[in-house]
Amino acid sequence: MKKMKINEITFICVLSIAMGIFWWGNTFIYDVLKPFLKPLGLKYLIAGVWLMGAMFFGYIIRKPGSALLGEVIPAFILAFISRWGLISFLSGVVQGLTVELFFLILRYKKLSAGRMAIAGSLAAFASFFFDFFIEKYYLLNWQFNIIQLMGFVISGAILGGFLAKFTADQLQATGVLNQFEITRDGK
Amino acid sequence: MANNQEALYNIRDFRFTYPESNHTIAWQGNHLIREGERILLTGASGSGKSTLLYGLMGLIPEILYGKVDGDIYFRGKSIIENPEFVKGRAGLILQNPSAQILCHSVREELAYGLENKKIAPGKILEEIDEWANKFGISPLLNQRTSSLSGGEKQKITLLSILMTKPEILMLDEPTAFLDPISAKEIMEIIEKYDSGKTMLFVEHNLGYLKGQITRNLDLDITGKVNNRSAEEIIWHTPLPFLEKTAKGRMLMQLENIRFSYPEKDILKGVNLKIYEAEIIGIKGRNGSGKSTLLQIMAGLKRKYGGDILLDENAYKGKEYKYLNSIVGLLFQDPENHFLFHKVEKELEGCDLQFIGDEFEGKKNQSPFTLSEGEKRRLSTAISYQGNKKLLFLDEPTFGQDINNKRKLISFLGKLRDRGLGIVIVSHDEEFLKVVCGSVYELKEGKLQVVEQ
Amino acid sequence: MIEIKKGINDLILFGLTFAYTIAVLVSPTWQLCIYWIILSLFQLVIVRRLNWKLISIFMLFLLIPGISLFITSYLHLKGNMSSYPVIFAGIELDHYRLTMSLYLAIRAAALSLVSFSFLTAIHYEKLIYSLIQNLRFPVIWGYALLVAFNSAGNIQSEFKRIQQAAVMRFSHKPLFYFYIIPLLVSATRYSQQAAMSIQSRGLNQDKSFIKSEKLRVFDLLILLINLTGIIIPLLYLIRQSS
Repeated sequence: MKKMKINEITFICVLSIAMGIFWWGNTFIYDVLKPFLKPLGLKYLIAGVWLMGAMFFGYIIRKPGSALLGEVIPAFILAFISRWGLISFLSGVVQGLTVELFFLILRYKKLSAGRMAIAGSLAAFASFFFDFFIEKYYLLNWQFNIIQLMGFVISGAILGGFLAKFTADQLQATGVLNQFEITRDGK
Repeated sequence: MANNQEALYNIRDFRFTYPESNHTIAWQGNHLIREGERILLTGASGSGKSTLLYGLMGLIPEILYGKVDGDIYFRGKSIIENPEFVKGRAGLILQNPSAQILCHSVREELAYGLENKKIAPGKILEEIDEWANKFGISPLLNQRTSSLSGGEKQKITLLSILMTKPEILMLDEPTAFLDPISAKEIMEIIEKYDSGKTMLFVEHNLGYLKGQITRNLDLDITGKVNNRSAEEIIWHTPLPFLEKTAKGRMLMQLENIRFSYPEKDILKGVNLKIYEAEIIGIKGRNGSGKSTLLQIMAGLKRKYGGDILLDENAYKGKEYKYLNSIVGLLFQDPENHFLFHKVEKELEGCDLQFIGDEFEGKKNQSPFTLSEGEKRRLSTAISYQGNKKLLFLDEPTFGQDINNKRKLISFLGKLRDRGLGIVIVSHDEEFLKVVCGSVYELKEGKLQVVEQ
Repeated sequence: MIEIKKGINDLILFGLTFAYTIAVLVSPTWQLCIYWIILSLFQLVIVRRLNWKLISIFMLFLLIPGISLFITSYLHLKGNMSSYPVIFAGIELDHYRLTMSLYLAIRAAALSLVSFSFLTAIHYEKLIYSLIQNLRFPVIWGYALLVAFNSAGNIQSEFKRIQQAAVMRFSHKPLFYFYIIPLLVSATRYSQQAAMSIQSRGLNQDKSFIKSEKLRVFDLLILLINLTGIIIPLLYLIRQSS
């Protein structure tokens, strides 16, 4: 596995702006649906979107650090424009680290749909534990927590993993990613 | 050989293959670039001119990944193997004015090159003031880069590069997105800089370069290179004249159109009549309101004064949706029009008889993978989709080489013969002259007739 | 008031956001959270003189999520043996659940406000320069980020144009979904040109800067004052509650 080159770094940074704005839009959808979903424990169903960064960039660049920074940088941007502030940045670090470790174990090779979904679920798990302590979920009853966790994991796999892969594949079909590892790696 | 004729570069059978598309570019033979030369690179789009520049800058394979054959030597050392050898010694300015701006303020942008050479901050600030005075950009120094126009951005980028005193300056169509006045200013800076320096130009608008060039390297698609002296260069290939035909009935009339932004009035009473089977040209300085006018005419801007009459007074009014449906609008950047994954899907609803079978072999590709000329033609076909009666084109010739301009002219001729009313907004005076029945200039918020 | 020529170093501001966020996170009572809210409002209104309207709109935005958090917590909190019923507007409520839900809701609001009050004072380019000059942040990432922030305006204009082209084509604004790939393509091309520009103009980790964002004694002092202003009341209160 090689080191990231400058054009991969600018790719992550420039597209992170779009990703950050997309996440900001998602917070609006979240805020609208939240009053209805939250008491049922289902608020995390849309949360998978915020895990997308790590998987999207990790899938395209396939080099050490791409998943971590692909999540941390949009999270950094989101911190400045969303109401959660610094917490979203910290969540991003947790999520990014998890996916990064997972991809490193896989040596960033053969990132199939299944592996992406697993990456999304793992990130959701880790992120949930982070929230568990930050938002003091340990004060709530365990049934509620299980529902929240399940919602997050499913969302992480689908809206995180699958959606990231789908979007990246579409982008690759336009020929604009030919310089990146995604084109060379076994599909 | 005179003393200043040392070879800066030695290009030896350089070939590069892009990954995935397997598009190969080649520069056959051995070529030397000597100090003091000013070389113009010409050739069809996609033949490999820009790729060579990237190679000369040491960006291959550092940034550009692909299969390299042959070699490029800078002062005797291979820079394919040792790109750091040429780092900081050569300068490159690219096409897109915005993408090359790195910093928030103009001073920081100018300082970038010298900062990288670890020059003391005090000295850098002195140099900036000196250069700003010499090249007349002092008023820009305290501004944010985001408030600059395209031409101003290119000027700043160019000066930032020149301040590092590179041994060779390379220019990859720096004027492609600029209006004629800004383009001229860029060329003036280059002239003023130092007539002895080595330079390499890739440019379609040859008019700006006359008198600057010492040699020409012309590349064709197969990789064969033609080495020509300055005298042999054909500076101007005239565009084919489009025969004017008779106009049909009136399609659209603009009556006293006015438009203002909070700070100023842009359009102060524009009057225009557009007829069937006619091509009208509109030119004007940057900021004169050409794009705004087109948007109003297309029904995209709603808060204007005055009236747009359609179909010979059939009705007066602000029926935007109707305008959207009968007007086609073609943007400068063809990629703005692509929304689907396959060329096939984009062509749905297009008059296929019209386009012929140009895209036959490429139906299943993404429109983004087409060549520059093909993208331009596809986007033109898309904008005409759905039986439009009028077609408005915003700078259709930007960055186009002569072949593509020719194809565009014949395409427009066909559309016109079908009865379309066409309006072209362009800086390209020659293009407007050969294609349009009448040309207007948008000056001080009003249209004035230039030619009939 | 001491005349300060340049504001507080943006890196310190970022660090303070971090410190205050942790402070709110470890605060055990809702009264202490109110203290943080008041501090933030003080910072916004008095020190930075932001107008009331903006702050009130932001507070309003926090209201609905706050209420939903309150209700959810009330419904799903684990019961507490030592609790007792409380009558409020004719309804019987559990005291523990009431106070705990209130605590969680106010705590969330405090987190948001604390971030808002500091992060909105930061200018992205100053923060990046500060990171490079003080923490040896890699310049390659620093300039990539600068370019990225510059690209925001570009993305916006591209979006507008793509939308206009689509309106002309279909006579109605297409779904958001259609814009994604064209925008990402445009952003990718932009990033590649930017990379070439950054690299070809000779980026060096060891470079000088015409604008110094080095930390000064003043910045470190501010950091110290804020930390002692936080730690002391916190330690006191935590010791008090245990």
